Amino acid sequence: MNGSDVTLKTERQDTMDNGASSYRRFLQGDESAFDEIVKELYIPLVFFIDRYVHDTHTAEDIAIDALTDLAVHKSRYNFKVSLKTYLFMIGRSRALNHLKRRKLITFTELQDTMSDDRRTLEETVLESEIKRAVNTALIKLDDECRVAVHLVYFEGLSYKEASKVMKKTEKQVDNLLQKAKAKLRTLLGKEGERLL
Amino acid sequence: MKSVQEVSAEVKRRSKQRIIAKKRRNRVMISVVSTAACVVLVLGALILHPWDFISDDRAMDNAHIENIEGVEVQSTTEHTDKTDDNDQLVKYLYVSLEVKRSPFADESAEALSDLERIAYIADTLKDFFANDDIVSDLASSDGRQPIKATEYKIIFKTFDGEEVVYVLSGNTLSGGEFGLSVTLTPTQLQELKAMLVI
Repeated sequence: MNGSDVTLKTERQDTMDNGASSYRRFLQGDESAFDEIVKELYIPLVFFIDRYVHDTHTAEDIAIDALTDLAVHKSRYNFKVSLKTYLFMIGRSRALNHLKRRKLITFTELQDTMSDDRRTLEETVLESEIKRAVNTALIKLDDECRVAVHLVYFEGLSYKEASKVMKKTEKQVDNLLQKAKAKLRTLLGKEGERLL
Repeated sequence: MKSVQEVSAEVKRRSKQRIIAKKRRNRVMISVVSTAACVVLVLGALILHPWDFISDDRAMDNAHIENIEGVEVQSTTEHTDKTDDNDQLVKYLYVSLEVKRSPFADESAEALSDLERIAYIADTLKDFFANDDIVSDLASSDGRQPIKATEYKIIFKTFDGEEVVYVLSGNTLSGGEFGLSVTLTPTQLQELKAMLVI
């Protein structure tokens, strides 16, 4: 087995455990392992947080904060859930805190049009045309349904992991997805339902 | 969108900031907690044992005795032939002390306070009765063991030759030129009795 095979194997492992093994290496003092986590999880995290805050720059800031949490509080993550789930849990919590604070200060919306950053973000995360179509239709869903669809269909989390991130039971997540499917059926037709 | 390098650099910068802030918070917390603990301890000690700080014992220890050069025991006699109201035999212990004034004494310190006298008597008697021979003499002067008495009389001379009499009855020490009457604490009483070989 040559060096490149080892690297490929490690990368495959990291992809499979959503960065947990990279985080283990980071805890052992390998600083470069954190870059791998950033590389793998930063953009999905920003995209997920953006579902809550509807502002890419804010989402980026919150995502960096969540990653900082991960870097500073090294003993908090216990490896019982995947690193991605854990990071999304932090991201959600911070996003909700941000929304709470934002309610106290009313901002004036400068523009409603889609920013270049969001377009880039969506193009990066949503590789296929179909996913982009679903994503556009998701805007019509309520917040919780949108987040449930995002976690399960876009991020590939299991119902259990999605329920942990959303702080709901698996049954509640299932109900949200059923509701989302029904809505998407009307929005996208049979084709849309089939995608999910 | 930020690049991976930019994000990593930003995470490192924020991590450092947070660690510094955390350390600062911890330092403040430690100083606050330790100050609070000290205050609680001092207040607790004052509330629970207020007199430990200004007790008679301490006051006696701190009695101003620098004006005294020394004390000499002039004579010691005892009488065991009297009875009190309850027909109990009373032992009178006459200890005649001469207090010598220090040549460096402050002129204004001619008269010692009663408290100072007691402090000095206590110290002197302790030395005096620490001598086994004298104790032995006292105990066997009439061929008997010391009789348990209820009242003692202590007489001593000041440096100007004046006789001052103190009476120890129960736990009260009274007498002196200013008509002192002090209720001794159990510790003080025990100490004094030990000195008097009671």
